[in-house]
Amino acid sequence: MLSVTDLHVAYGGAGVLRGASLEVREGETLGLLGRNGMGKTTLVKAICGLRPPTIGSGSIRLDGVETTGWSSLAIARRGVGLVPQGRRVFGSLTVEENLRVVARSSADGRLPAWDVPAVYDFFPRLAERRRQASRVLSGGEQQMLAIGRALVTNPHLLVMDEPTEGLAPAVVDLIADRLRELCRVGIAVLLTEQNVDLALEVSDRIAVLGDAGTVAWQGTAAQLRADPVPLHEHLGV
Amino acid sequence: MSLTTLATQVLNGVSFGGLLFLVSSGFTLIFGLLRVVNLAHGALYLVGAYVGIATYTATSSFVLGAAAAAGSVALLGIGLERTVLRRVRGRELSEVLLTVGVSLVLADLCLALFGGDPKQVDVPSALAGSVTLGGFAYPRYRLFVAALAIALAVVLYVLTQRTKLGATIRAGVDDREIANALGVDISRVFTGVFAFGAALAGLAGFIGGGMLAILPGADVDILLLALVVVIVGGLGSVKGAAIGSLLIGLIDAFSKAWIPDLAYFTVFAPMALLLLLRPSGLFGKAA
Ligand SMILES: Nc1ncnc2c1ncn2[C@@H]1O[C@H](COP(=O)(O)OP(=O)(O)OP(=O)(O)O)[C@@H](O)[C@H]1O
Ligand SMILES: [Mg+2]
Repeated sequence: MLSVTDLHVAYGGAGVLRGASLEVREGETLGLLGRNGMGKTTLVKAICGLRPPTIGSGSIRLDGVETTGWSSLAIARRGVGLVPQGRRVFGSLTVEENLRVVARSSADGRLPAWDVPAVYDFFPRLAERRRQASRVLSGGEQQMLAIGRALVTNPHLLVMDEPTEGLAPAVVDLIADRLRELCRVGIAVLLTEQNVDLALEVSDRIAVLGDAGTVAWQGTAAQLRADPVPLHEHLGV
Repeated sequence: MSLTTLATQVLNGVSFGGLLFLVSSGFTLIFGLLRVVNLAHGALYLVGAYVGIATYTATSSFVLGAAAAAGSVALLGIGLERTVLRRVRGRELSEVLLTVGVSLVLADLCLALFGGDPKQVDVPSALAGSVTLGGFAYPRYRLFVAALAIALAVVLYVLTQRTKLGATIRAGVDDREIANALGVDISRVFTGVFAFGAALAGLAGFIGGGMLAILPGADVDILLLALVVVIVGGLGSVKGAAIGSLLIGLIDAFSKAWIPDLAYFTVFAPMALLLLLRPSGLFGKAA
């Protein structure tokens, strides 16, 4: 599905990733952990073709196709759905418009198809708010919208950058419940999280970004739950 | 001042404001999405006027003249955006200077092709003459311009607020980067909006030719007024362009009637005042 090999990424001269490698397999959820500023968002941006940063060397492949250096538009159309850090909903658009402007059908018939009504079923709260300008929604509602907005593009790979950041515990539970549901239906997910418990719970496998700008540890979530030493070592938790 | 003179001045203001709206709505739409202050907008107005007049003269069809004015300037806009402006996207100073350069080139081309004599549009008989309104006569063409501007305002409102295309444009204004990353081809939307805004300028030139003289320098005059309108209304806001056009149209009409020597002052002074009090204009978003 997604494979990142020996990726070097920098802002101007300052290298953030210095040889990061990871893989997201068909239908699995990969949790990407790492302390503040370790480069999780930088990796997400590199995968989605957002600039800055710039990619120095290394390779990013989607379904075996080299997409390093592609425009974000081309990558999106290749089947990557982005839920950006900070949500970034289109504030002057209503909830419904946010979904309609990006909705498109998938080339791939294997996954369940998402359309606007399906997103409303998935997040009933959004249906209640459909005519409201998205800028007046609560943080949790905006997060649901950001996720729904990525889903209606019918991605093969869903990339979520800290979807529970800054949310109240009750809302985190709700989002977590929806994440479990998404992971269950078999869409491939790359999920960055500060909330380690949540990531361990919903992910199949975990990758931890370390100080060196590389993936310092990789393995199954079950392994980490049984032996959390790498978490102490690289995250200080 | 008699009631009739008052009513005449109000209508003069509204109709001139209508013309200003035709020009400034395109200008503000382009700025809203592309963040380009297109100082060639006045030159596009001039090109539209000349092409429209030439077509109208050749075919005797007012509608064809208007279509040629809008169509040719739309194509010019597409060319400009794709070949020239795209190269300097995001570098504000280069963008502004380039549009100034383009406007100088276009104005000179117009001078070479169409000469320096003032031209005007001899309005077709259906729009000529005057209408009697409660005891006084008023030029029919000016009422037509006002009605056209109102129709345009309605169309623009419906287009931007009620259609998917409009929502897509607003999404691009809100967060161009994320729209792209979710598979919306914003650069195509950019070109489309630029072409549409340019078409409005071209159309305004031809329509304006029935009210104002078309000659070298008319591009600068109209550009300055459009700038005042959008600065007063708020750059990027179509609603602001509508209110600003009406305001500046009325101020212009009354100051020409009362204090003709200060006509420029009375247009620019409110702008300066407003800039002091509300730097982002009446409906502009604060930077
Ligand atoms: N636009 C930028 N220009 C320069 N440096 C940047 C830029 N964005 C991020 N950085 C730097 O790159 C490093 C990695 O940032 P990144 O946002 O990828 O971290 P992160 O792991 O996502 O952190 P967080 O958990 O806070 O979201 C940080 O040191 C940050 O200061
Ligand atoms: Mg981040």
